[in-house]
Amino acid sequence: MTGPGAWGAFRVGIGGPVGSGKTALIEALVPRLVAAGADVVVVTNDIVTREDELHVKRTLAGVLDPNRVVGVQTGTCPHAAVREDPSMNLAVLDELAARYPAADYAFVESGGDNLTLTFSPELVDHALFVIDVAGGDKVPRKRGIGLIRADLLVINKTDLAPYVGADLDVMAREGLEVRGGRPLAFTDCRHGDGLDALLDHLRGAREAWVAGTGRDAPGRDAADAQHGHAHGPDGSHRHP
Amino acid sequence: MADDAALLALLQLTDSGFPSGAYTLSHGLETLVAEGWVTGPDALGEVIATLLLERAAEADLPVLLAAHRLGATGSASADPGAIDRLAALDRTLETIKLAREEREGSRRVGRRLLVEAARLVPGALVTRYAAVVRAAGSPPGHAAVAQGLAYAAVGVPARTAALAAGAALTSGTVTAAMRLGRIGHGEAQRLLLAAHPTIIAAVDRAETRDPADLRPSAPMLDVALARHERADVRTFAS
Repeated sequence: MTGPGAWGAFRVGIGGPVGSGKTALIEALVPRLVAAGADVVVVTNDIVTREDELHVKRTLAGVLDPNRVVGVQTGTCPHAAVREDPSMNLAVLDELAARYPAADYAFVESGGDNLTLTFSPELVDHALFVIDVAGGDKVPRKRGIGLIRADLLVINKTDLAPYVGADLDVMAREGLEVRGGRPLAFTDCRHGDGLDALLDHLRGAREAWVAGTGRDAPGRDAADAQHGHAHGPDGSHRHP
Repeated sequence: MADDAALLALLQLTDSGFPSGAYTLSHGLETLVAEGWVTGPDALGEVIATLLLERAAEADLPVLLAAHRLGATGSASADPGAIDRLAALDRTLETIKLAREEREGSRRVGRRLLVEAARLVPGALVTRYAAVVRAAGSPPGHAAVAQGLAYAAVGVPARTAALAAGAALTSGTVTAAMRLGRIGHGEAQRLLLAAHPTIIAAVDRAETRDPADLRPSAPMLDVALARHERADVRTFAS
């Protein structure tokens, strides 16, 4: 879907393995977006226990009205819920669109799963895939579809690299290689590193989407190749 | 079935790949498993029978059949009273579905089915009803109403549609049991086959029920669904 329809919220999918930092990313990004004046809603599939549900709302208390954060159970099928049958997520987005018609961003967090999780382009307008360095620096070259196809690959927990023997240069080089030069970014969500660059990326992506030149515009692959560049391990980011 | 097109349409709508969202619902089974009421295939068979005969046959299937009758009478422009009658059926289900998760699950599945069906069959009554449901202050859009309209729109006969809905409910419950680790895939197929006479009996019963006088009674499932809202672990939406 190019450009906003009746609802102007830019839908951003966040996928990735269990424990990679999807929730931490949302909890780090949302306050910054809200502080900058953005209207945000969150749908999370990464929610099985009451502890999960209360954690997100508690962490965002004072930043986001808890009614703007909705959990969707996936019946043990995290892939189906965001890919081949995203009905329940779409239903919840419809409900949020009715309650928050002025939303600028709608984050859809998948349930934690493996490297093959991708988002239906009818559910989200932009997809992030989050892995973390503690999963090993060989993860990019495993070539999981989710890791390859995401609009942005986020490599989180850079602060742990020395302790787990992860070579960030290897991850950067191989991440770009398997993704055909499509963008990747390094973050340390716990300490806030790399988030400004990630926000810049999201804002740019949203602008392109609003202008109707985003995700599935003709020649998208060519546009992505022109955009492809590495983000340094310190989160440094420069657009051409 | 004599009509090849209707058969193909039926296969498409009942295919596991059709986006209904129904796989996220366990219909109270998750709580029954968590609290030890269902540990294996025998108890699961009882749950399936209750779902089919005391809930589906007494509420959702009569509504499905009534919606199908309205949807089968012609195009969106026929019978101006049809929308009001569909809304009345819809609101009846909203009233008699006691557990919040059941109501919410049924509404979400129904609303998505209306969207999908409206895209597939743009000239039918289902399309007009989909637009009505999307408007503010609208009817809830329960699954049984959406199913009746969708099946009617693609030419599937009423009784076949009801059997298909019963089969889908059974299949969803059995699949949930597998995902909850209570039965294996072979046992699942045996249970599905064994449920066929019950599905048929449920449809037979539904055909005799008046949608204006529905009396479902499945208290244990209602309690399980209500308790599910506060469960420590919720893998399913209901």
